[in-house]
Amino acid sequence: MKRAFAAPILLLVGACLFFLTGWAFTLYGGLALTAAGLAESLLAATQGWRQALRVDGKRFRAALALQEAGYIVTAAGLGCILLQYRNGALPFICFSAAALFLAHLILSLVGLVLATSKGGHRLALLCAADVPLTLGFAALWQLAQGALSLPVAEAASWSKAVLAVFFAVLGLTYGLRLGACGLYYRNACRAVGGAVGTGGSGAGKADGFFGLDLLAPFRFGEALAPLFLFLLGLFPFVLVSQVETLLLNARLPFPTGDYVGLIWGGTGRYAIYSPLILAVLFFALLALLDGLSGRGPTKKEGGRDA
Amino acid sequence: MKFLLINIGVGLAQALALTLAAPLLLGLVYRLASLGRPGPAPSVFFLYEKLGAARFHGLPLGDTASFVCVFLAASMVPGFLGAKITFGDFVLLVCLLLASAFLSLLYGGGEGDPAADTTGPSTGGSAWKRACGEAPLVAASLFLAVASRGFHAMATMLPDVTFLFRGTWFTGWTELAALGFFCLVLAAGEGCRRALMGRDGTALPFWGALAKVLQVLVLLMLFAELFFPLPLPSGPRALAAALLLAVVLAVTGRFRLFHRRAVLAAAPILLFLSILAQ
Repeated sequence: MKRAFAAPILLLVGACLFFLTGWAFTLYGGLALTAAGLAESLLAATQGWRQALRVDGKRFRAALALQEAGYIVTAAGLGCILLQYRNGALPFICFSAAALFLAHLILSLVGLVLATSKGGHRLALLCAADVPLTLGFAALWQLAQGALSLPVAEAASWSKAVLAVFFAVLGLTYGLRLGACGLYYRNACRAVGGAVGTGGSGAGKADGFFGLDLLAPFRFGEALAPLFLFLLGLFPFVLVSQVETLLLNARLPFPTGDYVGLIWGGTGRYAIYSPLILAVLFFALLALLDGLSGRGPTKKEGGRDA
Repeated sequence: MKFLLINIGVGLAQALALTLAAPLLLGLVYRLASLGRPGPAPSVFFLYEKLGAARFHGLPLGDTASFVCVFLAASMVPGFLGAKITFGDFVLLVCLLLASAFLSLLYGGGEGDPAADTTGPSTGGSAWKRACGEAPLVAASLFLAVASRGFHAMATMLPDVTFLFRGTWFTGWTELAALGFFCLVLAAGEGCRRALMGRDGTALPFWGALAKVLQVLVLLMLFAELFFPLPLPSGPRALAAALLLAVVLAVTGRFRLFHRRAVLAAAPILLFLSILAQ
């Protein structure tokens, strides 16, 4: 079991040492770092899947953290590649993505330390899975934007290959992460013999720490990390200010437009992510529809409305 | 601010229109597809009947959240009402579609819920296990679709990444990308058909079933707007894409060629090759 983590950990340590030597700040060094990061995230994601099947909470969270570390190495590698093209703005998109992933990793580790349950809490899993409105998604979004700026800097055919491999691995690891989180939760519920809580306006059968409702209060230690991950996902000022400044001032060869209000919603033409508007719409619609279907009689099993 | 509110209003109106039209369009597709299959053909309106009979009260939060995710994704689809929604782009749309399945898994019904845990020959095992197993392939396909269009348009805003007919109709990469994304639409369409057709409507959660139907329509609209290399207006292009889906479903059903996992696996490979071919 311990050997299972050896490959991603060795890759991570090797990538860190390589970065510290300064050799990464060349084209081939950046490519090597990117490859190492992608390989590490893929290995860690497969490990996460294995641990989800085994319902080993500690190692499952460790695999998720290693995957985040892989994304950080990838973002740093892409930043090092883009540094070679004398466009000071482009690498910073990648380096700020790495910074956001680092913040996400630290908060996840804090959550792991403070957690009193075995990591099966739904809100913790929701934030760990990098779904929209969380910090993980903001980092992922910026990493994708950074990678898409690679062919802008370099028109050679290898940049297409790097882009294709990057997005294939990113999608695969993201899907593995989502699948593993869902699998872990369902398997953990099955292991403890508890039914999955229905939440919302359902029957509300919360049992133990697995059946906690989305909005129900739970232990402070467990709540802290997801709360910060969610709040930073709603207000990713580091991300917003950097991307806005870069796109407005850096003479990027993208179609330029009004990027003001990336967080509040604007008329951007290159890319936009307004988490606040999304959050307002999401929760308003959720409350409306849940209230709509919550009222009235509940059905008998498999039967029509009473 | 006024522009923003109008923009969001148009986007939500578009999502509502797509939600109302989705069962009709999908019903038409499945009706046409069933002509090549054994057994009685369903009515064009059978999805409305299923949704009418579905459970509506006391649903798990996951099903509602899943529908809200797909609804917001539908508001971002370009071309239909000309919505230029300003709270997200292609990456966000893709992640909303993926989060929809995940939320349904995390906050959906439990082991005993027939909607969450359907086993049987028509579904091929536990629904949530299948959803988990297919997530990596679906995510890889969708992310490669973002890369394929983003690389070409140098943007991820959806109105900007729509197919522009500037002498690039039928080139190698457009065909590969179209074929790759169509594989994804095909797998989603067949998955929705298997999930909804062979089951008693009363066992379905309303929002969950509507989310499935709307998700297929969103993917179909994305295929029509972003990948379909035919110089037609948005509406006819979507109808042509739906017709193509029906024909392929009918042919594969007639000759028993359909293997959903193989089609899902083909999607990222073809999209990967399309990026290399650009």
